[in-house]
Amino acid sequence: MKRLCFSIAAAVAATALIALVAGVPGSGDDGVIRIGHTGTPHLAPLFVAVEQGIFEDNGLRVELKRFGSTSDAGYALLAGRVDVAFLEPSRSFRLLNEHDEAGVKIAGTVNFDFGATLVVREDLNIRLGDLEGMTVAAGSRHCILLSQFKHDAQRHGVDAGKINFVYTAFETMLPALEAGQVDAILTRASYALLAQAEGHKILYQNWDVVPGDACCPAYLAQVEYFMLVKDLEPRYVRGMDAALREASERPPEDSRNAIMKHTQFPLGLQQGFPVARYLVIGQELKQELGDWVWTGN
Amino acid sequence: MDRKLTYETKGLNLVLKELSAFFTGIAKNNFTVEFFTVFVPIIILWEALPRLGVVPPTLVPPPSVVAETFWDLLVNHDLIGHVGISLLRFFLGLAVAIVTAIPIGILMGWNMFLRRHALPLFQILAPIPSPAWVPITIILLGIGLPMQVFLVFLGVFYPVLFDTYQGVKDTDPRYIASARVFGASELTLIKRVYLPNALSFIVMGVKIGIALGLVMLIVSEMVGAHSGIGWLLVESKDFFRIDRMVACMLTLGFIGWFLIEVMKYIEIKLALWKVGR
Repeated sequence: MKRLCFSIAAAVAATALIALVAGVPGSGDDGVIRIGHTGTPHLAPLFVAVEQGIFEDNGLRVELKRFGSTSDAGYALLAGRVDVAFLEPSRSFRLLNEHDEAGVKIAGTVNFDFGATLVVREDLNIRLGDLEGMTVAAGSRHCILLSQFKHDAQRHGVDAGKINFVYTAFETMLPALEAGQVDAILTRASYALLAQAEGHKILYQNWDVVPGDACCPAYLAQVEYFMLVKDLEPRYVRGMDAALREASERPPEDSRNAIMKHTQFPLGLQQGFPVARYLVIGQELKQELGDWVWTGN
Repeated sequence: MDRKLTYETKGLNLVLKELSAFFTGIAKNNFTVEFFTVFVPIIILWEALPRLGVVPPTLVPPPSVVAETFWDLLVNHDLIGHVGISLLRFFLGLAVAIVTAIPIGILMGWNMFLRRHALPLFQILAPIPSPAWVPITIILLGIGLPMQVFLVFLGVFYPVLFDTYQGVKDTDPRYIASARVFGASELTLIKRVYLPNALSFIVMGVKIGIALGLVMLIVSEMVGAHSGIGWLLVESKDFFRIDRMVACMLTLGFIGWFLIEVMKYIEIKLALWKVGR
């Protein structure tokens, strides 16, 4: 009898624990849309919309929830703790691949201008000509940024063939630079902005580079974040979409001030960079993403 | 030749006997009817609730899925290799901590002069949560094995140090007085009185240290490592593989539990008279 009591108690405790772990609160039930984000300066439209009351103007009440990483925000979305989350494309694809039955959909994108940028480590005081013999991280051997850089370097009399290029994903470049594993990184402007905030120096920048190559198609190249939604009523998704598009139309200075307020990212470091903007998913991207795109049904 | 063979056979027999005693002890002490009374319903519910759709199976993977994933990790993702490299980092940190903490603890417990000089410093440093050391450790030691070993060391060092110190300090004065009456030197006192008296405290400190060291191992592997069970855990998290995360967590739990069992066995062997007191 005693053992049976213990067994029942254990079963009840396990049920409570499992239910607690998987407890899914009704999303948007209280009329408040919970938005998961990581406080990155690349989410300017979100911060502008909050600061300037654009969400309220569109009939939405929102609550921002900041996470330490986008994967944490992804888990919160899966568990129904937030209704909307902003995740990088690579992480979004992982989430959608692993949890395609969870009802998570891509409802929009936050884009940032491409811009080929060479960032050198903070302890190096060098010029473009001094790069010969140094180790520079680039996206891939055939990356459009690398082609553009090599072309521009040649114009400045630098032999790019003497630079030791190593190839790695954009998101791992900054940690490699921080750890001193490479002397410089050839990256997209969005990552250069973050690198500059860590004290590294921009040595070269070309905004004329046209995004898109074999490994990173044009329709995806400028996407910094996907806006993912789960079990959110269509009127709320449409409201979010309208509010973020409206926020993207506001002057860049508004965005920079909103970024500074929400992320403490200094205004000075933002100058010289464009600001991110929210876009609806284009036809090409929609075709590529297929069922993962939110359709309102 | 015959004698050598006899010694080898005896040695092998002894090892087998000890191993048999160790595993029998584990089975007898842990896998009891009382344990299964609690364990079995939990496992059944854990399996049933996701399967019945009460909770989403992707968020709460049932044990059968976790078992499959564990097998997949073992066969296709070099789980053994990851566990091996993690254990290497862990045992290096553990060894450095034990080798330094026990002598310092003994000296602090034995000598008032040393105690007054060293104890306040350790008492100030010890409450700093070990993960708070991560950024400074990266600055000082970079990212790699030294940093990982140092972080494990930090987790293990203080429990072993303070338990050793306490064990030596709490030695019954009658034992010390008796030994002195028989002309024991200070070194003999340490070897024959203080250390045996502190043994169960030291083992307890190592047990706590193992638990904290494992925490620090995972923390250290989450920062800049490309191998190890902690890295595998973070990688699984980044890929939204909850089943893999659970498999890694259970592996870690098993390692911690097994090491604690080893320490219990060592305690029985070294300080039998203290066990169960």
